[in-house]
Amino acid sequence: MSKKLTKDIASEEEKIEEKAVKKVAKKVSKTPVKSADTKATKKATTKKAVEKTDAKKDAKEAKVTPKKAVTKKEKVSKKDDKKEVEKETKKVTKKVSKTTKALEKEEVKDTSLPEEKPKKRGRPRKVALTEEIKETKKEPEKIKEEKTKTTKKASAKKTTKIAKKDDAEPKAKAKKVTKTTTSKKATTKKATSASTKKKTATKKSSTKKTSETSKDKRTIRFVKTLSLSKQYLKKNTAILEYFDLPYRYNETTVKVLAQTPKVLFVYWDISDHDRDQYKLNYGEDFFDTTYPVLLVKNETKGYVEEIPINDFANSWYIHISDPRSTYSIELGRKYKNMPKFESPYIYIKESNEIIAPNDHVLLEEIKPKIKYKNAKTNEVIFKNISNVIKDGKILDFYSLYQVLYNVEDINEFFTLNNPSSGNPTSTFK
Amino acid sequence: MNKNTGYVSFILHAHLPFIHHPESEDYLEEQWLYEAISETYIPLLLNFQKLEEEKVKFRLTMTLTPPLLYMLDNKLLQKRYIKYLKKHIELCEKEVKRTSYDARLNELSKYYLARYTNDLHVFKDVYKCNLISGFKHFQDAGFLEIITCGATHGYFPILYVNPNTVRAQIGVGVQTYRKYFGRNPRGIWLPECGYVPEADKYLKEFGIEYVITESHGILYADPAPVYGTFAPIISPTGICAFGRDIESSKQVWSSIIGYPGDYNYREYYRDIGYDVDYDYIKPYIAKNGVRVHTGIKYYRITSKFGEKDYYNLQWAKDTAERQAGHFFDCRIKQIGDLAKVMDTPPIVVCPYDAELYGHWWYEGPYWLYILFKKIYYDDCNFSLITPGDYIDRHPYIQESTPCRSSWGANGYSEVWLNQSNDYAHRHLHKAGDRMVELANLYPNEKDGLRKDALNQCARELLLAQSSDWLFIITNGTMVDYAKKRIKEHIGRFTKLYYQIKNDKIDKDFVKGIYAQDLIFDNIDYNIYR
Repeated sequence: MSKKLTKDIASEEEKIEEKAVKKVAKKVSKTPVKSADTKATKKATTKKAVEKTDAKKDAKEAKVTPKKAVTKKEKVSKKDDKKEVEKETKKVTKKVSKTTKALEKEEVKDTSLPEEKPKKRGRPRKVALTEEIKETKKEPEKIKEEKTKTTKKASAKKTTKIAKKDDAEPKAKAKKVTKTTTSKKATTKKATSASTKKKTATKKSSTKKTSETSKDKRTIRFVKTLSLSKQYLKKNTAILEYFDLPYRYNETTVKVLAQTPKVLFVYWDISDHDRDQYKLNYGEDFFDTTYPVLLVKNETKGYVEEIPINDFANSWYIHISDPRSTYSIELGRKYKNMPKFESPYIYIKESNEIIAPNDHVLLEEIKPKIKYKNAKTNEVIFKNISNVIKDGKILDFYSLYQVLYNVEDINEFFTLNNPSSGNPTSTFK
Repeated sequence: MNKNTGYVSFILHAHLPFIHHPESEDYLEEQWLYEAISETYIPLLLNFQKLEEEKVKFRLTMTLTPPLLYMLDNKLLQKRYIKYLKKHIELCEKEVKRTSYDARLNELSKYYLARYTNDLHVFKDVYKCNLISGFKHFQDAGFLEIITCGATHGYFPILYVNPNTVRAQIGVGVQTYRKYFGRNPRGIWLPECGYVPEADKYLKEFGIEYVITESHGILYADPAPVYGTFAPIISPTGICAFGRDIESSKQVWSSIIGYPGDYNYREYYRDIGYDVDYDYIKPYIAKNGVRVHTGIKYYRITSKFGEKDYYNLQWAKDTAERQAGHFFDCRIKQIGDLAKVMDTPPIVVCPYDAELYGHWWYEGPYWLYILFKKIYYDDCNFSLITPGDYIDRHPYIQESTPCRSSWGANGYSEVWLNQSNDYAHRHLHKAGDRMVELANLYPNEKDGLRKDALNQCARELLLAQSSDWLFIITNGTMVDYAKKRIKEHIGRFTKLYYQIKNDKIDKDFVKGIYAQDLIFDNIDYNIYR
């Protein structure tokens, strides 16, 4: 699709060039003809833009500038005309470079999320992915060479065509941003080649002196091309929207989850409204003079543990002593300038309840009578242990488990590195 | 020997996350489906067919998760799979010419050409692009017991902060099953075997009779199970739980002693996608030029280190047969020993990812075929059974509450809740709360734009909740893609949430995202009430 897009844009460019030359020639030779200019600007402004981009602003400026020239036509000299056109083209090239920079940033780095750390192998692609990355070390060099060749060829052509490539590149990238490539190298490769093109383009535009006529041409052509390419994209591509996760939801909440039998995870937030209320009640410097604490409540065994934390965090991993207990977490604050046990405690919010999982076989808790239920009828019966264990030589469940699992020590006979689909050890190499 | 002394229950869990990108063919993640169809689902169906033709009775339990069902049923993905096969056939034809210098390589290239050609014939001509009908046939014929799963494989122990979201995962999963199989499922594969006792009431509500758990899901139950994992337990709510057997799992899964590591088996990581000349393979790898697996692999494992030898089909088959015999003998001994101390027939539960058979372990489907034939024909003290059959035959089950557990690494929630992915949970929980809020604010909406928008919210939430994204982030594979999916679904959900609340629903937006997230066509958002 991108090849077709660039072909169509190229053919449109040629048509626009012819028209633009005629119009700019009129503009420069005489004092600006209001009707011709406003027609051109009206065309630019009445076309619908797919996204709010710099092109819209450029279209507005293009609309504005001729009007200014019109109202001041008696006062403005030829010199002032030149300066305005130069300013306009500089703005346009700046905006192009800004757009491409922004898109490069999006492609290369996602700053809203925590950085990734190297991970162990897992299903299904990790080893394959590293192999892919190794292989692409060869290919990008070749591709880079090809890219630099094309940019060199591009620089040999007129400056106006290089500017157009910049116009086409951001649009194509805007589409590609939402795609996935499996190799980070591939995306950085695109980013570097695009930045090389952009650099070449801006260098050319700043160092070469162009005549008034060609600058006008370039400006108008840029505006037209952008609006045409937007139209083309709108017709021929689905609009791919980019979403990001919000940093917070601005509500007071505390939630706790169990990661393992001995580790809980808690996250929280305090809404702006509640913050203001606390400041109102306890002073404007409340959050500066206090520090957050987590009260870890074991509802089963009836004790509370206090964990001081800090305001840089909005989540925490808590190590607990007792699996199989019901826990809840309370978020509060205490004063910094007072000893821990003397400071008043200010309650903020309590979490949901969570039951920490069990982590061992509960053989010591087996009762003499075992309860059975009929899965179809829900009828309940009880069996004695002696009826349950067939072999009369086995007197307890520890011994029974040793026979069932053919092991000496039932507490150590299996590990929880489960050989499952999620386990790195499930790869066979 | 008496075949009713004990039982062996194979459970194959076939699942892939929902990946559907009509906007582009460049997503490599879509290849997972095509590889799974070629290497697992078609080979399994062909082996089931052989067993049926040979009049070998077998019983096997299989999960076909809702996202997988919708992908197999998707016309665009079916078309793309055919295109994938045709490309592979073209590549194989080139390979036959390229490898003409070496007789062994050439034989292998001809094998792959025949294999992919046959896949195309089976998919297009035999099953008319509808593989689901194939599995349904074997269920209706009494060979398979197909069970369901959570709607998008959402991990219950973490989602349970909002119970309605877990109820919806179960409800939509059951609804999807009914759509494709015309009846209610008896069992459910809890996503990642993530068990929470509080979810039992919802399982009961939707008619589920049993779940599968990890070994310690049963062993750490309260009270302790008298027979360990060799008998199921039943929760106070009435849901039966079957736990994985440790010994048989190790024989298949273990990276050290497991069957798939045998030196005669095909080496997964030697693929022509990486081995051959770049210009030659370029039309058959990723469009952005990144080398990928093609599925055409010429080497066997050979050894842990050193050079790899060419793959030999016959040696691989011989090894599979030998190992099927080993597994068979081990089960006879195991059940014989267990039956001496148990007053009910022991059951050895063997759950695996379906993709192990064929994709990771290329010879796996053939191993299963040989094993099932041996169990049927040879003298042994056990027969194949499904959990549903076991409940029918032995309904009195020890009452005990299974342990909160999973089959992820280390047995609990670490894979889906750790420092690499814990940022996502507040967003998933918030979206869950908002969905419940919307469902209660606009109950029983009539057909129209708002109802469509509410249903689409439900879809986006379900897709965001997929445990696959968190799993992928932890394992560091397609991390960018997984993060992008979470952002997209939460982003779309949030946008729609505000549009609904402000009564400014964008019809094109709803239509547009439904065209992409083309799943759960008959969903009803009221399930969140």
